Amino acid sequence: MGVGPSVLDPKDWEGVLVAARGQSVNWYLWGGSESINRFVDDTYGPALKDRYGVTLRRVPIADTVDAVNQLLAEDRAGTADGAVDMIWINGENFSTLRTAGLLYDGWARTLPNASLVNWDNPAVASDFGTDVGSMESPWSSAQFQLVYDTERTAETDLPRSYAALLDWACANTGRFTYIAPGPGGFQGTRFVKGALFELSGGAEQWQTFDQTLWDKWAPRLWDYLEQLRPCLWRSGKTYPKDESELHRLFANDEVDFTITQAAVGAGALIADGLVPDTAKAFVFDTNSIGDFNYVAIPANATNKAAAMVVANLLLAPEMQARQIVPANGFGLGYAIDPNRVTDPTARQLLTDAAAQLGPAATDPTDLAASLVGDAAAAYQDLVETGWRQALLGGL
Amino acid sequence: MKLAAPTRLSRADLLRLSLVVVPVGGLSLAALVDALATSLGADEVRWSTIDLSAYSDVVTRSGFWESYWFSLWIAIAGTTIAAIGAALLGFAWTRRADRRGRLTLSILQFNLGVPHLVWAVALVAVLSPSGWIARLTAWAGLIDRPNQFPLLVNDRLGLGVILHLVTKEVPFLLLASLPLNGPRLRTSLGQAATLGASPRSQLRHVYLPGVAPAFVPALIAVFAYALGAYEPAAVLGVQQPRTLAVVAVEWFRDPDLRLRDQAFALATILLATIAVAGAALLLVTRHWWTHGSQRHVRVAPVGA
Repeated sequence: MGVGPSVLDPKDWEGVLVAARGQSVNWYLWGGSESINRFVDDTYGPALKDRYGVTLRRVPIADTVDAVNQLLAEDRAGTADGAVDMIWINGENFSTLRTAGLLYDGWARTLPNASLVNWDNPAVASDFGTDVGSMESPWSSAQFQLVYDTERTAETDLPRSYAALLDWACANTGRFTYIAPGPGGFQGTRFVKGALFELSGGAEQWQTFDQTLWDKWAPRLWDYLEQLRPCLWRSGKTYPKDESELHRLFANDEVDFTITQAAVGAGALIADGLVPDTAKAFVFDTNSIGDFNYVAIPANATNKAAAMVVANLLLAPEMQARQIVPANGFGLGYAIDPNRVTDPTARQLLTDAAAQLGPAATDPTDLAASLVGDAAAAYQDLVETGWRQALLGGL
Repeated sequence: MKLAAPTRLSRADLLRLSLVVVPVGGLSLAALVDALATSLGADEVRWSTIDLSAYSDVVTRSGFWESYWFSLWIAIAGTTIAAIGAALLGFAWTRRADRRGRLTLSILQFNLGVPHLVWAVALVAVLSPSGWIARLTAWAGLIDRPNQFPLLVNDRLGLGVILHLVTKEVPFLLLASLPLNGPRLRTSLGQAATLGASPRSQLRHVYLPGVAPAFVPALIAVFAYALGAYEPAAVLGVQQPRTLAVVAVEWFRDPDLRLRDQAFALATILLATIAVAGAALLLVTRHWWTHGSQRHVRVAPVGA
């Protein structure tokens, strides 16, 4: 098209659209979920082709770190027209690429649909404690929730904080447990971090890494979990090692709660037959850790204009509405703030989609009220190895 | 009485054998060299930078010895019970060898084709406090609630893992020892019985020496599997203590690459344990390999 990267101005959206027409986007994304792959191909592909003349080429990768390594290799080789146009990314991988200066900057917040994103929300504006700047555009969200069975537990009896959970667990000995934090037990790590936030009086101080802060609060955290331990399933002598094991204990009536991160709450688990039909998700009043999934564009991407068009389309209310409908197979939450959508038709789409979340989902108002950002990436390992040493005392 | 006559391998046999042994052995050897090199902090090219810090870090970590003894307990208990079970069952079936015995044997061997992971998950479904048996006994009124059922999986003693090993390895040991030796052994056992040997004497002096050349190596394989396998202990074990095999795999997969050296050190420690145990087993059973047993058979009727 003759419009080189140096000429491209993200603020001139008409210019971006012109430059994008006829381009192909190589979108590198984790390909481990068939339903997500299908959703990407069937939902975005045709829309991009018909509306913008952009061809979407989904490049499935086993782990996002593969795309990071590709970019690092291209950087060493001095490749100006790189093969990667866009990556589904977050957390540590983003931090690596940002530090290496390999990301295209100054575009994410100028996309037309970026006005629908609540950039004032720290959970959006910082990714595992790293400022996203204008280098990452959000795609979807996930949030820590508990699942209960409405047949077994009355809504009024649900604990709504970690302090209340301790009382609940000890009044119902053996009916609660959580996933052992560590590799494969990501949700367990989140559960423990939530306790840390409540004990220390808030999540925000944990957004940047501070060893003295950790040293001050870690003993209190282990104290709390030690108090909880005798009231747990099997007296806390062992813990489920992953999500599926906890789902099984919940389904078999050994414990009264399990964990999910999906916007559809227990809906997807019910559809898969993993939990009873009467299961429903809920959150504590605060400290429910949520995070966002983003897309980023490499600094050496060949088709930056088309990649921006894709990122903008992901945020379109119509597409956001489709991604939360359980039947479409994606199931993760909004990246946009639905309250910012003014167009009545678009609002209606979002309302309709939210209505399809079903009775198994957490009330979106509760979710939003409870949401906090995750702690800085460096805490992950401290929580996981610290928990194993403090609570189990072994390898 | 003629027992397992040693056969000589022809050159053609050796050639055919090498087609299997060379690739399998080569790959195993390469993996071994890689594991050793990584655990010693050396790169594969120059072995100049060998240091043992991964080993000393691992061994001095709190909980290492607890995990080590726990792994060893599971492997020894599982292998011993499987060995006794397979020896007694194999002996009984070789003596009887009727249709019912053969049928039971085929049913038992049915689970040889079931992957270990699937078998482990099945045991959880059947034996856990919310499993089928617990529900049945609760329904039958033997216990009040399913969770009063005794803890047989995910328990601190590793009973679930041991049960897994026994149920999977008894058929394996039978398969390894019986098909080739069965008919000949049956004749020998018949002769011994005619001479007045008691069943115990037949087992000890005819059956065991007869199957030993196949049984003992299979037993070493079972022990190696019991000590080194990830799936049974990951599914049926507890979070604390974890077996060393489980810890090794999880450290190997950890995003923190520094744990990799230690994961390989754990693997090497397990391998050394298997080598020692294998040598010990061969030593203990050496009289079976040196035809010493034939003498006993002759005196058996008198002593029985």
